[in-house]
Amino acid sequence: MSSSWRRFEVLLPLRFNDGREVPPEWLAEAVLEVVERFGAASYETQKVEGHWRHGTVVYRDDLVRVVVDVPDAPEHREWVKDFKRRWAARLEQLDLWVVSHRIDIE
Amino acid sequence: MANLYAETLKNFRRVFVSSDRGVRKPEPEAFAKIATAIRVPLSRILFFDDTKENVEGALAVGMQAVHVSSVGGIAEAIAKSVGDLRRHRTARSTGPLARIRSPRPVNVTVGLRAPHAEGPRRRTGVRESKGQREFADPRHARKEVSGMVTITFPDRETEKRALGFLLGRFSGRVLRSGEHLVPEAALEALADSSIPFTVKGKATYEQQLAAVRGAASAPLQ
Repeated sequence: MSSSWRRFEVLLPLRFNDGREVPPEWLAEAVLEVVERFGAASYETQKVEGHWRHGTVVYRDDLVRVVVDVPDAPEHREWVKDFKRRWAARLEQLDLWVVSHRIDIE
Repeated sequence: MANLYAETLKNFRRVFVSSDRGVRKPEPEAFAKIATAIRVPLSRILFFDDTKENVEGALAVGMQAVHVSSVGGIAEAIAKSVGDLRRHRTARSTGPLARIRSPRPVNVTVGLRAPHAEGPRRRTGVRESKGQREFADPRHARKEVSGMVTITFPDRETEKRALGFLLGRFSGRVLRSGEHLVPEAALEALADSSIPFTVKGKATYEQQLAAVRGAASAPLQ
Protein backbone atom coordinates (compact mmCIF):
# COMPACT_ATOMS: atom_id res chain seq x y z
CA MET A 1 0.00 0.00 0.00
CA SER A 2 1.17 3.52 -0.71
CA SER A 3 2.60 5.32 2.30
CA SER A 4 1.61 8.76 1.01
CA TRP A 5 -1.21 9.22 3.44
CA ARG A 6 -1.91 12.11 5.72
CA ARG A 7 -3.82 12.32 8.96
CA PHE A 8 -5.68 15.54 9.68
CA GLU A 9 -6.69 16.31 13.24
CA VAL A 10 -8.95 19.21 13.98
CA LEU A 11 -9.55 20.43 17.52
CA LEU A 12 -12.94 22.07 17.68
CA PRO A 13 -13.65 24.24 20.71
CA LEU A 14 -16.78 23.48 22.69
CA ARG A 15 -16.90 27.05 23.98
CA PHE A 16 -16.25 30.49 22.63
CA ASN A 17 -13.43 32.42 24.23
CA ASP A 18 -15.89 34.33 26.41
CA GLY A 19 -17.18 31.06 27.87
CA ARG A 20 -20.42 30.75 25.91
CA GLU A 21 -21.16 27.28 24.65
CA VAL A 22 -20.73 26.77 20.95
CA PRO A 23 -24.09 25.67 19.54
CA PRO A 24 -23.80 21.89 19.20
CA GLU A 25 -25.28 22.11 15.71
CA TRP A 26 -22.33 24.23 14.62
CA LEU A 27 -19.92 21.55 15.73
CA ALA A 28 -22.00 19.01 13.87
CA GLU A 29 -21.89 21.18 10.76
CA ALA A 30 -18.11 21.35 10.96
CA VAL A 31 -17.82 17.57 11.23
CA LEU A 32 -20.33 17.02 8.44
CA GLU A 33 -18.28 19.33 6.21
CA VAL A 34 -15.31 17.06 6.72
CA VAL A 35 -17.51 14.08 6.00
CA GLU A 36 -18.83 15.69 2.82
CA ARG A 37 -15.32 16.38 1.64
CA PHE A 38 -13.61 13.14 2.58
CA GLY A 39 -16.50 10.72 2.86
CA ALA A 40 -16.05 9.98 6.54
CA ALA A 41 -14.65 11.24 9.81
CA SER A 42 -14.04 10.04 13.33
CA TYR A 43 -14.49 12.02 16.50
CA GLU A 44 -13.19 11.26 19.94
CA THR A 45 -15.20 11.25 23.08
CA GLN A 46 -12.86 12.88 25.50
CA LYS A 47 -12.74 16.58 25.78
CA VAL A 48 -9.24 17.77 25.10
CA GLU A 49 -8.40 20.55 27.47
CA GLY A 50 -5.95 23.10 26.17
CA HIS A 51 -4.32 26.13 27.73
CA TRP A 52 -2.62 28.65 25.52
CA ARG A 53 -1.32 32.16 25.76
CA HIS A 54 -2.00 35.04 23.42
CA GLY A 55 -0.23 38.21 24.46
CA THR A 56 -0.70 38.41 28.19
CA VAL A 57 -3.92 36.43 28.30
CA VAL A 58 -4.02 32.69 29.02
CA TYR A 59 -6.94 30.95 27.36
CA ARG A 60 -8.39 27.58 28.26
CA ASP A 61 -10.27 25.49 25.74
CA ASP A 62 -12.43 22.40 25.94
CA LEU A 63 -12.01 20.71 22.62
CA VAL A 64 -13.23 17.73 20.67
CA ARG A 65 -10.89 16.00 18.27
CA VAL A 66 -11.94 15.13 14.73
CA VAL A 67 -9.70 12.81 12.75
CA VAL A 68 -9.57 11.66 9.15
CA ASP A 69 -6.90 9.87 7.12
CA VAL A 70 -6.71 10.66 3.44
CA PRO A 71 -4.22 10.33 0.59
CA ASP A 72 -1.61 13.04 0.86
CA ALA A 73 -2.74 15.32 -1.96
CA PRO A 74 -2.21 19.10 -2.29
CA GLU A 75 -5.91 19.70 -2.92
CA HIS A 76 -6.79 18.07 0.39
CA ARG A 77 -4.35 20.25 2.28
CA GLU A 78 -5.69 23.35 0.58
CA TRP A 79 -9.22 22.38 1.49
CA VAL A 80 -8.26 21.87 5.12
CA LYS A 81 -6.56 25.27 5.23
CA ASP A 82 -9.73 26.86 3.92
CA PHE A 83 -11.79 24.87 6.43
CA LYS A 84 -9.58 26.14 9.21
CA ARG A 85 -9.85 29.74 8.08
CA ARG A 86 -13.63 29.66 7.81
CA TRP A 87 -14.27 27.87 11.06
CA ALA A 88 -11.76 29.91 13.05
CA ALA A 89 -13.75 32.96 12.05
CA ARG A 90 -17.14 31.41 12.74
CA LEU A 91 -16.10 30.08 16.11
CA GLU A 92 -14.56 33.45 16.95
CA GLN A 93 -11.16 31.91 17.51
CA LEU A 94 -7.83 33.65 17.15
CA ASP A 95 -6.62 30.34 15.83
CA LEU A 96 -8.13 26.92 15.21
CA TRP A 97 -5.77 24.09 15.96
CA VAL A 98 -5.45 21.87 12.92
CA VAL A 99 -2.52 19.54 12.57
CA SER A 100 -1.56 17.01 9.98
CA HIS A 101 1.19 14.52 9.57
CA ARG A 102 2.27 11.87 7.14
CA ILE A 103 1.30 8.39 8.20
CA ASP A 104 2.30 4.93 7.15
CA ILE A 105 -0.48 2.41 6.89
CA GLU A 106 0.72 -1.11 7.46
CA MET B 1 -47.02 -10.08 36.43
CA ALA B 2 -44.97 -10.35 39.62
CA ASN B 3 -47.79 -12.23 41.34
CA LEU B 4 -48.53 -14.46 38.39
CA TYR B 5 -44.94 -15.58 38.01
CA ALA B 6 -43.65 -15.06 41.53
CA GLU B 7 -42.06 -18.47 41.67
CA THR B 8 -40.28 -17.99 38.38
CA LEU B 9 -39.31 -14.36 38.82
CA LYS B 10 -37.69 -14.92 42.20
CA ASN B 11 -34.80 -16.41 40.28
CA PHE B 12 -34.15 -13.17 38.47
CA ARG B 13 -32.11 -10.38 39.88
CA ARG B 14 -33.95 -7.67 37.98
CA VAL B 15 -37.19 -7.53 36.07
CA PHE B 16 -37.94 -4.85 33.48
CA VAL B 17 -41.47 -4.08 32.44
CA SER B 18 -42.09 -2.14 29.25
CA SER B 19 -44.77 0.04 30.78
CA ASP B 20 -42.26 1.17 33.39
CA ARG B 21 -39.52 1.78 30.86
CA GLY B 22 -41.64 3.74 28.42
CA VAL B 23 -40.40 1.74 25.45
CA ARG B 24 -41.33 -1.65 24.06
CA LYS B 25 -39.63 -4.36 22.12
CA PRO B 26 -38.64 -4.48 19.35
CA GLU B 27 -37.75 -0.78 19.53
CA PRO B 28 -33.95 -0.46 19.69
CA GLU B 29 -34.27 1.87 22.66
CA ALA B 30 -35.95 -0.88 24.66
CA PHE B 31 -32.92 -3.12 24.33
CA ALA B 32 -30.44 -0.30 24.80
CA LYS B 33 -32.03 0.85 28.03
CA ILE B 34 -31.85 -2.59 29.57
CA ALA B 35 -28.26 -3.06 28.46
CA THR B 36 -27.36 0.20 30.10
CA ALA B 37 -29.31 -0.62 33.25
CA ILE B 38 -27.55 -3.94 33.78
CA ARG B 39 -24.22 -2.57 32.53
CA VAL B 40 -23.73 -5.32 30.03
CA PRO B 41 -22.96 -4.53 26.38
CA LEU B 42 -25.70 -5.48 23.98
CA SER B 43 -23.40 -7.95 22.28
CA ARG B 44 -23.09 -9.92 25.52
CA ILE B 45 -26.70 -10.29 26.27
CA LEU B 46 -28.43 -13.51 25.41
CA PHE B 47 -32.03 -12.68 24.74
CA PHE B 48 -35.00 -15.05 24.50
CA ASP B 49 -38.42 -14.30 23.20
CA ASP B 50 -41.31 -16.21 21.73
CA THR B 51 -42.05 -13.41 19.25
CA LYS B 52 -40.01 -13.49 16.08
CA GLU B 53 -40.13 -9.70 15.62
CA ASN B 54 -38.61 -9.15 19.03
CA VAL B 55 -35.84 -11.62 18.31
CA GLU B 56 -35.10 -9.90 15.01
CA GLY B 57 -35.08 -6.54 16.78
CA ALA B 58 -32.61 -7.83 19.34
CA LEU B 59 -30.35 -9.24 16.63
CA ALA B 60 -30.49 -5.91 14.79
CA VAL B 61 -28.97 -4.07 17.75
CA GLY B 62 -26.23 -6.65 18.13
CA MET B 63 -27.64 -8.85 20.86
CA GLN B 64 -27.50 -12.59 20.79
CA ALA B 65 -31.06 -13.71 20.49
CA VAL B 66 -32.93 -16.96 20.39
CA HIS B 67 -36.50 -17.58 19.33
CA VAL B 68 -38.04 -19.98 21.84
CA SER B 69 -41.46 -21.26 22.72
CA SER B 70 -40.95 -23.10 26.00
CA VAL B 71 -38.91 -22.97 29.15
CA GLY B 72 -37.25 -26.18 28.07
CA GLY B 73 -36.25 -24.48 24.87
CA ILE B 74 -34.56 -21.73 26.85
CA ALA B 75 -32.53 -24.20 28.85
CA GLU B 76 -31.50 -26.01 25.71
CA ALA B 77 -30.57 -22.79 23.94
CA ILE B 78 -28.52 -21.61 26.90
CA ALA B 79 -26.62 -24.87 26.96
CA LYS B 80 -25.98 -24.60 23.26
CA SER B 81 -24.91 -20.96 23.44
CA VAL B 82 -22.52 -21.58 26.31
CA GLY B 83 -21.09 -24.44 24.33
CA ASP B 84 -20.68 -22.14 21.36
CA LEU B 85 -18.96 -19.53 23.48
CA ARG B 86 -16.57 -22.10 24.78
CA ARG B 87 -15.65 -22.86 21.22
CA HIS B 88 -14.86 -19.13 20.85
CA ARG B 89 -17.63 -18.45 18.45
CA THR B 90 -20.24 -15.76 18.67
CA ALA B 91 -23.31 -17.51 19.94
CA ARG B 92 -26.26 -16.59 17.78
CA SER B 93 -28.18 -19.75 18.01
CA THR B 94 -31.49 -20.25 16.39
CA GLY B 95 -31.98 -23.22 18.65
CA PRO B 96 -34.95 -25.51 18.83
CA LEU B 97 -38.21 -23.68 19.08
CA ALA B 98 -40.50 -23.98 22.02
CA ARG B 99 -43.22 -21.78 23.40
CA ILE B 100 -43.60 -20.12 26.77
CA ARG B 101 -47.17 -20.74 27.76
CA SER B 102 -48.14 -17.50 29.36
CA PRO B 103 -50.58 -14.67 28.65
CA ARG B 104 -47.66 -12.43 27.79
CA PRO B 105 -44.19 -13.31 26.66
CA VAL B 106 -41.65 -13.60 29.40
CA ASN B 107 -38.14 -12.82 28.33
CA VAL B 108 -35.07 -14.13 29.95
CA THR B 109 -32.15 -11.79 29.42
CA VAL B 110 -28.78 -13.18 30.39
CA GLY B 111 -25.56 -11.22 30.40
CA LEU B 112 -22.65 -13.40 29.43
CA ARG B 113 -19.00 -12.82 29.91
CA ALA B 114 -16.31 -13.44 27.36
CA PRO B 115 -15.21 -17.03 27.15
CA HIS B 116 -11.83 -16.17 28.66
CA ALA B 117 -13.05 -14.02 31.49
CA GLU B 118 -13.27 -15.50 34.95
CA GLY B 119 -15.60 -14.54 37.73
CA PRO B 120 -18.48 -15.59 39.90
CA ARG B 121 -21.74 -16.60 38.32
CA ARG B 122 -24.74 -15.02 39.90
CA ARG B 123 -27.46 -17.15 41.30
CA THR B 124 -29.77 -16.04 38.53
CA GLY B 125 -27.49 -16.97 35.71
CA VAL B 126 -26.47 -13.38 35.03
CA ARG B 127 -22.75 -13.08 35.20
CA GLU B 128 -20.73 -10.08 36.18
CA SER B 129 -19.32 -8.27 33.21
CA LYS B 130 -16.11 -7.11 34.83
CA GLY B 131 -13.17 -7.74 32.60
CA GLN B 132 -15.49 -7.87 29.63
CA ARG B 133 -12.99 -6.15 27.41
CA GLU B 134 -10.21 -8.56 28.13
CA PHE B 135 -9.84 -11.16 25.46
CA ALA B 136 -7.15 -13.63 24.70
CA ASP B 137 -8.46 -14.24 21.24
CA PRO B 138 -7.73 -11.23 18.99
CA ARG B 139 -10.65 -12.10 16.76
CA HIS B 140 -12.97 -11.53 19.69
CA ALA B 141 -11.03 -8.48 20.78
CA ARG B 142 -11.54 -6.75 17.45
CA LYS B 143 -15.17 -7.66 17.31
CA GLU B 144 -16.09 -6.94 20.89
CA VAL B 145 -13.88 -4.08 21.97
CA SER B 146 -15.27 -1.92 19.21
CA GLY B 147 -18.87 -2.51 20.36
CA MET B 148 -20.09 -0.04 17.78
CA VAL B 149 -23.56 0.05 16.37
CA THR B 150 -24.56 1.53 13.03
CA ILE B 151 -27.46 3.95 13.17
CA THR B 152 -29.12 6.43 10.84
CA PHE B 153 -31.36 9.43 11.36
CA PRO B 154 -34.61 10.28 9.63
CA ASP B 155 -33.40 13.56 8.12
CA ARG B 156 -30.47 15.91 7.89
CA GLU B 157 -31.66 18.20 10.66
CA THR B 158 -32.03 15.31 13.07
CA GLU B 159 -28.62 14.04 12.06
CA LYS B 160 -27.10 17.42 12.80
CA ARG B 161 -28.86 17.61 16.15
CA ALA B 162 -27.75 14.11 17.05
CA LEU B 163 -24.16 14.67 16.04
CA GLY B 164 -24.07 17.89 18.02
CA PHE B 165 -25.30 15.93 21.00
CA LEU B 166 -22.80 13.11 20.53
CA LEU B 167 -19.73 15.31 20.09
CA GLY B 168 -17.95 15.66 23.38
CA ARG B 169 -19.95 12.84 24.93
CA PHE B 170 -19.04 9.78 22.90
CA SER B 171 -16.54 8.62 20.34
CA GLY B 172 -18.03 7.90 16.98
CA ARG B 173 -17.67 7.82 13.26
CA VAL B 174 -19.68 9.36 10.49
CA LEU B 175 -19.99 8.13 6.93
CA ARG B 176 -21.15 10.14 3.96
CA SER B 177 -23.92 7.57 3.48
CA GLY B 178 -25.55 9.01 6.59
CA GLU B 179 -24.56 6.06 8.72
CA HIS B 180 -23.17 6.81 12.15
CA LEU B 181 -21.09 4.33 14.08
CA VAL B 182 -21.69 4.91 17.77
CA PRO B 183 -21.05 2.95 20.97
CA GLU B 184 -23.99 1.06 22.41
CA ALA B 185 -24.16 3.45 25.33
CA ALA B 186 -24.98 6.28 22.94
CA LEU B 187 -28.26 4.63 21.99
CA GLU B 188 -29.89 5.19 25.32
CA ALA B 189 -28.47 8.68 25.57
CA LEU B 190 -30.00 9.55 22.22
CA ALA B 191 -33.29 7.97 23.20
CA ASP B 192 -33.33 9.85 26.48
CA SER B 193 -32.83 13.05 24.53
CA SER B 194 -35.78 12.16 22.28
CA ILE B 195 -33.56 12.06 19.22
CA PRO B 196 -35.05 9.50 16.82
CA PHE B 197 -32.75 7.02 15.11
CA THR B 198 -32.80 3.67 13.42
CA VAL B 199 -30.44 0.87 14.33
CA LYS B 200 -28.99 -0.85 11.28
CA GLY B 201 -27.00 -3.40 13.21
CA LYS B 202 -23.53 -3.91 14.52
CA ALA B 203 -20.86 -1.89 12.82
CA THR B 204 -18.67 -3.90 10.52
CA TYR B 205 -14.92 -3.77 10.46
CA GLU B 206 -15.04 -2.33 6.95
CA GLN B 207 -17.32 0.50 8.05
CA GLN B 208 -15.02 1.39 10.87
CA LEU B 209 -12.01 1.35 8.61
CA ALA B 210 -13.79 3.53 6.08
CA ALA B 211 -14.64 6.01 8.79
CA VAL B 212 -11.00 6.56 9.56
CA ARG B 213 -9.86 6.55 5.98
CA GLY B 214 -11.97 9.01 4.12
CA ALA B 215 -13.88 7.83 1.09
CA ALA B 216 -11.59 10.12 -0.88
CA SER B 217 -8.97 7.56 -0.07
CA ALA B 218 -7.68 5.05 -2.52
CA PRO B 219 -9.11 1.59 -2.17
CA LEU B 220 -7.26 -0.84 0.01
CA GLN B 221 -4.40 -2.53 -1.76
